[in-house]
Amino acid sequence: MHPINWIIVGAYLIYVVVDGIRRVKGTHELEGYFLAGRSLPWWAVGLSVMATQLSAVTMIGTPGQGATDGMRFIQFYFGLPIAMVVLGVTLVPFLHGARVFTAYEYLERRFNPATRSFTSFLFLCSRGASCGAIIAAPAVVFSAVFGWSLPYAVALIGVPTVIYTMIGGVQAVAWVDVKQMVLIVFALIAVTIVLLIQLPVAPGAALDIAGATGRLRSFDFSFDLTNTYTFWSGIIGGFFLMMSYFGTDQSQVQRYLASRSVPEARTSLLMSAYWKIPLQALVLIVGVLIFVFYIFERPPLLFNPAHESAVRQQAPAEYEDLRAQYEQALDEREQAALAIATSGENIELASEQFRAVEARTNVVRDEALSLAERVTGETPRDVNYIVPHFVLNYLPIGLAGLFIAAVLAAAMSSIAAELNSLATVTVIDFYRRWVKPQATDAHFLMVSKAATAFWGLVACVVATYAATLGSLIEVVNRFGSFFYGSILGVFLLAMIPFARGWAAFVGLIAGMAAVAAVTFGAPDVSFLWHNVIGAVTVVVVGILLSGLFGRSST
Amino acid sequence: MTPDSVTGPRDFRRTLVRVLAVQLATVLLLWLLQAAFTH
Repeated sequence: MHPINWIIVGAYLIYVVVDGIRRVKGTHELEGYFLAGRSLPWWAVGLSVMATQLSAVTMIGTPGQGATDGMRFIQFYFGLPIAMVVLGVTLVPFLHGARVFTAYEYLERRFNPATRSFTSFLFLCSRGASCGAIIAAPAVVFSAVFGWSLPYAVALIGVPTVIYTMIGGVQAVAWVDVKQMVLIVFALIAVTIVLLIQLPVAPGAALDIAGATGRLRSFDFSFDLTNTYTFWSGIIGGFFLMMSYFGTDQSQVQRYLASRSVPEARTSLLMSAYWKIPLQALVLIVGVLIFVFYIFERPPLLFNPAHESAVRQQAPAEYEDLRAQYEQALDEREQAALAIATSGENIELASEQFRAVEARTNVVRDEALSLAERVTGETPRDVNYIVPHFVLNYLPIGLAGLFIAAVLAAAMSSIAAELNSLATVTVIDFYRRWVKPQATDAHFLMVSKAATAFWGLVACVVATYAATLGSLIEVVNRFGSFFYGSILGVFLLAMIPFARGWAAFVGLIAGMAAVAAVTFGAPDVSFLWHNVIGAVTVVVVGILLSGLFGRSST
Repeated sequence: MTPDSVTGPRDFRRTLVRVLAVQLATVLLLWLLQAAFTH
């Protein structure tokens, strides 16, 4: 990468740390450190919520998914706006009005200490591990693209984040998030413009080419429980997932608990409701345009440079053979794409021919991916390297550095929120609740900073191992989906006046058991439906038990 | 505290209508993109 790009990345990292540390003012009390004295304006909270949800995977993996699979991933977010509106009139007023530090603290007031401790323990387990996975995803890509050792890449992302989160608390996290979100949106828009300028065909023709392969298909109305990306799984399963994520996950709840009032907290959530789908559509369109771009520019056989080099060295004959086949297929594909661009009324026929050539190209690429897996022993995940290849080889000097900085920003904003919420739950729900309830704010602050550093270390260690164990990231995600919906069910029960604490606890166990039964009994059912199953089971079991046996007990 | 004590049903309906309007516009745009360019 050009030195100017490195200077931009370096300047960004220094700025983020300095800006975060600057926010130390007003964090000498526990409420200042964890909730910014409940003083944040709605727009800062809203941008912070969006930045937290937008991780490095969104910047690298999602456009890659757009390039290979098209727009259909957008359906995943269809339930989000409705969830935001419903949360705004249900959980947000309850949690903000209760003046709590954590969402789980509210559960003790409403139910009992066991429900609070159990849900917060589940949060620590899943978020501690997923925080590592969030660092691992970009670290693996950076180490392959730049040839760095993995621990170095993990440290580059993790250490600055831990420093500003530990020193500045939630104020640093939220205000740095605001700037990171601006940088991310700017980088995405700039890349879209550059792509449109660099394409050798008009934007309309580019869309015709993308459309010929079905990449502009955003809607699938089939009701298929095994398919994650359908309209129904997005709107129903996505609704429950987003309700759970934004309503009960401390990394999100803590943002709006830090806002000035309930209406401001609600407005901050609505910002996501308004902008999440358009923003996600932009990310996917970047991917679709990159697909069209690589029809007219020669892509490598494998986008992961480490795998490409390993295959070339260890299986040179097979590599050269596949490379020759690929070159020929690419030539034919380019001609077929140009035929679409100039086809006029014969676009159906031209599209048909393009699809046939595209299928041949994909066959060669699939063979190359299998070869890479055989040679390296790793799952290729080549889709994650499409965007870095484009950024480093085709973006103008300066903009490439800005995009890498935006990827780092997306990773850091998510990690910072996770670390801050992990420290909050550790101190408020465990240390202050069970170990030392009467200590001073100064003491709790010291413990909070130590907890942030501890979770930062855990995340970095998990990231280093998660990367080498590849599938661990999937295990973490699956583990999270075991109880995400169930925890939502407990919070929904909390709003039902006659629901009892012990019934909520039994319901939580029943919800998790139901999800486990579906996961192992019907593994093809998409994880989005697990959230629906978990939440509904907890609510039904909780209501039944409270109604049948709860009148004389608490 | 009940939801109605911080936001009345009318506020909720207005918010719901606004959010749904923006989402419908986005979804319509995506639908048009799909319909116009999928051959």
